[in-house]
Amino acid sequence: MTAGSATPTTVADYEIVEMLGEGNNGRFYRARPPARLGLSTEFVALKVFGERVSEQAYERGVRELRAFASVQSPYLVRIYDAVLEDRFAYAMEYLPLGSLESPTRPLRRDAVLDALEHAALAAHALHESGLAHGDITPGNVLLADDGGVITGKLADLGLARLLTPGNTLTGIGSAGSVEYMDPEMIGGARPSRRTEIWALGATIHKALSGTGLYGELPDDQPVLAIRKVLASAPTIHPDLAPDAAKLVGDCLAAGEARIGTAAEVAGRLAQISR
Amino acid sequence: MTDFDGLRCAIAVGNGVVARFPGVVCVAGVASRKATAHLDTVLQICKDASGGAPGRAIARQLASWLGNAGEGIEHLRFGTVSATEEDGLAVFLVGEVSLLIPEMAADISGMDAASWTDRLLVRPDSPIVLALSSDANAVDAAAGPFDLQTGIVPGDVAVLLQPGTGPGQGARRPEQVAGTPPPIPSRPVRQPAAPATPPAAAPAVQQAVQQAVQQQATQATQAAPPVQRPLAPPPSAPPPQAPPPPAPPPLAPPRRSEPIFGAPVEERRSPLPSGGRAERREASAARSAAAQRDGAPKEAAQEEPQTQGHLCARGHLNDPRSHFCVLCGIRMNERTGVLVLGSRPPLGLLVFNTGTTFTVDADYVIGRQPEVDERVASGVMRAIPVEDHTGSVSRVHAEVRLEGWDVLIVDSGSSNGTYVAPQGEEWTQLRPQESRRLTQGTKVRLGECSFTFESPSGVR
Repeated sequence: MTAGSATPTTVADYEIVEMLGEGNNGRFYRARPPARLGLSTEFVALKVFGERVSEQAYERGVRELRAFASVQSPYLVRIYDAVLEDRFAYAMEYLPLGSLESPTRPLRRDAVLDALEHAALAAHALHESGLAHGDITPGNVLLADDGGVITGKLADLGLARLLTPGNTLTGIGSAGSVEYMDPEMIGGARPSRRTEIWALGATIHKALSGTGLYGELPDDQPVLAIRKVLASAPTIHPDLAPDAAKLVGDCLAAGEARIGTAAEVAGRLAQISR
Repeated sequence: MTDFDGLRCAIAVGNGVVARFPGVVCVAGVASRKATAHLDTVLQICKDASGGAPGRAIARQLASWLGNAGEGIEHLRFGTVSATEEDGLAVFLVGEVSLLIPEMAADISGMDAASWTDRLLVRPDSPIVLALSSDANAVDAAAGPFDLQTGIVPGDVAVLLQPGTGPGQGARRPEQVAGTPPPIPSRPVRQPAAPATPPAAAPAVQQAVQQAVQQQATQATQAAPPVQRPLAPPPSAPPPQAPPPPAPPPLAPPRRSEPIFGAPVEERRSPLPSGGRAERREASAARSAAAQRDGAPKEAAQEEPQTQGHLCARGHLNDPRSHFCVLCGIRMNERTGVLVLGSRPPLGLLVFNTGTTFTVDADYVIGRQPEVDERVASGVMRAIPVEDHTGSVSRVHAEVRLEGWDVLIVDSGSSNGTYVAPQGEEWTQLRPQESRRLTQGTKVRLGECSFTFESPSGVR
């Protein structure tokens, strides 16, 4: 189920510059876009899916990406183009500052909180437009520099379920991404506001405390990672400030105690002491 | 062809263990003290089976032992190469261990499968490298004069060679042999098994190895001057001031491409239902509405199938054999349990060795090209496409089917077979079209690909 490991020099008519990372069913590359797109930017980020997809799955992917691109939010990455060669790939804006998981420069706490708030607003905008992201993680909260102010942008809409029905967790990247998934989803629930708020809570926890809700997960052993997540309750790090810990707890809560909308999560993030 | 025991076995010194007995060579490494006893077992299996052509026997015994090996086994990695009848090789790799045949571009890793990788190969007359790393240069690392005949020594790499040749040279190019052996006095390597630290002689040995590598590199290229080169391997980075590359010709446009940003959206979707208790039903209704609208996502098992089960106190439908509710964990009251017809919840997960995970709430076809199966094309079953570089997976290899509360694995008449190992039991092969019930922790192998069935109910 894995693709070859070498970095290609081209993908379709994109010229690959370097690999940026792996995650959510594929790899990201920094690439030069083809002239047909008429873009003024030198680089785009190109996501190349690891698994073969059929024409029908590609068309479903294009429909979903277009729906994503039509959502009005300054906090969603812009997607330019989808291509199908032997693999499915799509191009989006390239953000050189990296993500909350691996920023290219150290971030101050207020910038982290801002980026998290933006990600929650972006998720809410998706939900209001009938879409669920499906894979909210710190690695998918990208960072843009708007005149010295850090802006968070939610990227990498989870297309795996759409491309391969039944797919719950994607393979490429680390098995650790299971720590951002609402256990109800591992049990078969589909992405919803409720599961996304859980993922936002896990993302906030990781970004602010530096540790996952389940401690260290065996990255290279998916079965053990899943067993650990299913067998243990998430634990909020004791060093987290009380207001942040309360927010994370309310995102993970069972039943009706869980926060109802991502906008509410954003509102609570805005109130956390910087 | 030289017989297996006539091959020279060169080694690279390291923290692992290299062992050779008649008919078998083994390389192993332990990451924790907990695995020391397991290492002893592997060496004992090799030793006991050795002599003649022990390949198949060793693979069978290792597989059978691994299925029941206890705690700490995850800290052991090892690989064996052993002779089989008719000049074949049996390869058995567990964990981060590689078998390379550089001349044939063969590269097999113990990481190729969740459990282990075993293979029968035709023995080449070029070097065979068994290494605790996947470094393609491992063959050069063993460029010393060593020749392990039998015994157990510290080492990370074993290279099997035609006698009288050096690594990197197949018997096909004997003319290179003459100049190869470096001027180092040969001495046998016989040391007791694996102290945790490398032997004191290591720096000298490494130097000798590097000198040998140097000489080889020089001879191979016939270009560089014979001296004045650092002992360290040459840097792989290009020179800093490379001329700018010429502008490449424009690339051909892709087979299909669609603009995304600013493209028209077919239909605006309604907001996701709000959170809360009623969500499940609403979401389900919204899904089927969306499915009707989109037309395309012909997802198998769109409507939840009806099955008889017991209800827990909170109304979750459960497998009648389950003592606890899968969803809320509360104990089922079996006495008053009356079978009720209801929507069947997902019955578990298929966790592939790559980390890709599928929810078992529909029937699946697994294979290299599952979409050729008409049940996939018609939407009755879902597809799990498996990437396969070795030709060991059939286009339609196996199926996962739901029957009531049971999850079955069925071999679809595959060429290389489907293997099943329930937790704590040995691997067995399914006959074509034979089905087997999956229980919590059952491992399944199809060629290079393997997965584990995880069942939240744990019903056995």
